Amino acid sequence: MAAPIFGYDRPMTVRGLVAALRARWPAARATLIALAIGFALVDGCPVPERQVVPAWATDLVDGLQTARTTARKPVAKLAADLDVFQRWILFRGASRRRFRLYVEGRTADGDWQLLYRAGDPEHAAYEDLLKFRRIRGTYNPNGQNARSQYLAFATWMTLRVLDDHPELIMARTRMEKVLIGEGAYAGTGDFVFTHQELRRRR
Amino acid sequence: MSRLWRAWVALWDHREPAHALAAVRIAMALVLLYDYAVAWQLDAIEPLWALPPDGYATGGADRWAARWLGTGADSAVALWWISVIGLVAVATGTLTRVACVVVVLVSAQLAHRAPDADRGIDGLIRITLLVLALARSHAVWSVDAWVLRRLGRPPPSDVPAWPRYLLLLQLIWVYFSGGHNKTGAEWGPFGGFTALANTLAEPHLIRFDPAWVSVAYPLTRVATALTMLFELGAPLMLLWTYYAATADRPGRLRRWCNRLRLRWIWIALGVSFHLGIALTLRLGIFPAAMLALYPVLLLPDELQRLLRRLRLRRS
Repeated sequence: MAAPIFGYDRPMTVRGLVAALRARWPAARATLIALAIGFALVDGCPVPERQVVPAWATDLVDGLQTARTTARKPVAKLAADLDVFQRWILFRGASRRRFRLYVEGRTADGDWQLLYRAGDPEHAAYEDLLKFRRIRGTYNPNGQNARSQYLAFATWMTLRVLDDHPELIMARTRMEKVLIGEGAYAGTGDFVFTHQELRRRR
Repeated sequence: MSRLWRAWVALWDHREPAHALAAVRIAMALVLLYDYAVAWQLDAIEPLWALPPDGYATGGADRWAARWLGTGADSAVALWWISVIGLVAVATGTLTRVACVVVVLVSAQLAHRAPDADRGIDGLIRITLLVLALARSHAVWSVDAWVLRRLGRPPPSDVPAWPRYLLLLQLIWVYFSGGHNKTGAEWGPFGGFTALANTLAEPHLIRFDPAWVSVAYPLTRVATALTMLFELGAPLMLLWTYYAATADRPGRLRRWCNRLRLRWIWIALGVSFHLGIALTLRLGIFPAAMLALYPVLLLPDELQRLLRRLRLRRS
């Protein structure tokens, strides 16, 4: 008589092994699910950012971040490779201080032409493209900061404008700061994130 | 402890018809297919996912897709085609599990190439497809099920319910996490609950002239407060779902929650929230992809009743 496997008093045959594994599967699956939920909760745990907590709490926040990094370690590489996460930021900040994108081109006589301005139906060249969520994600500022892909977007966009408009010698993208109040926005005339390209390369 | 553990194991061992999972599979795949179709229609495939000079992607040069396919325009188009074919396979339930894995892997490569073009909703879709890759969502409404039936090995009528439970937890977590990460004062009383009004007038997102927002301004403040209530109250949905599933058991709180239809009120709030932002803001596939997960909120009996009613109406 062979030794029992997993507490099953059967001969060590493949069928016996499969039956034993099958009997243990619900418990193993429940364990794996508990682990997955645990990792997800650790990843999604709302640890505040260091710069927004009072000085007395920074050590605590650092400790929590270190604990989270350590706890995530077994799955961190897989999560990074698959780009999956559990911290969901849906319209985190909805501040009054926003931006609107301008796309402009300059002719040889020095005049700037406004081709596109967000929210302006009179200047809506490239609107379908620029409103596409994936393209918008690369230029619409994150809070008050430019996106990591903004420079790449701005370079590509300005070169495309120069390709499409042979009469232009220069193109630029920039953001006007706007202030939103009670359902309307007003431009401030203050521009940031300006990028321009001369007609010289493609 | 051992009783709790046995209950935990038994919970994840439940079985039910596969219709909810199949509905999520089909809806999610169609939503992402639409998004890829828009990228193609706008000629945005190469700009988004090819590295310069062909496009303006900024990452992924050290990933497997770059090693196998390069980083130019052809590689962007190839990845797009693999995704599209994979999504058609997911939607039709053809080699479903393999297709889910392929779409997740390729979508992650695209995310590495253009990190800002990959939004939170893309991450949620990848998680959903990973769960579906482990589920038997293809037991109904799929080519796989049709082939198995032809081979004389029809798929079981009841499949493991745990993937639906996981997706239910995921959906609730997305809302709850979204709620507690809303740190801007505009989402609360100190900022006057002005967040929605501000978002509805954001020049990059608006669908219409935002003049209407000033007319509906008080309403947007109520809607902001309701959004926070909906998101932070999401974990209660687990309790309400449990009460609805065990309605025949005693308990005053259970009876009270079921009678007030709190679960249905929460679902209705969610649907109106997503339809509202789909109507007023250009957020791409976000509202549709979130709603594509909603079948997991229904109990198996409710979904079966709904399907019977639809069949009756059709016949």
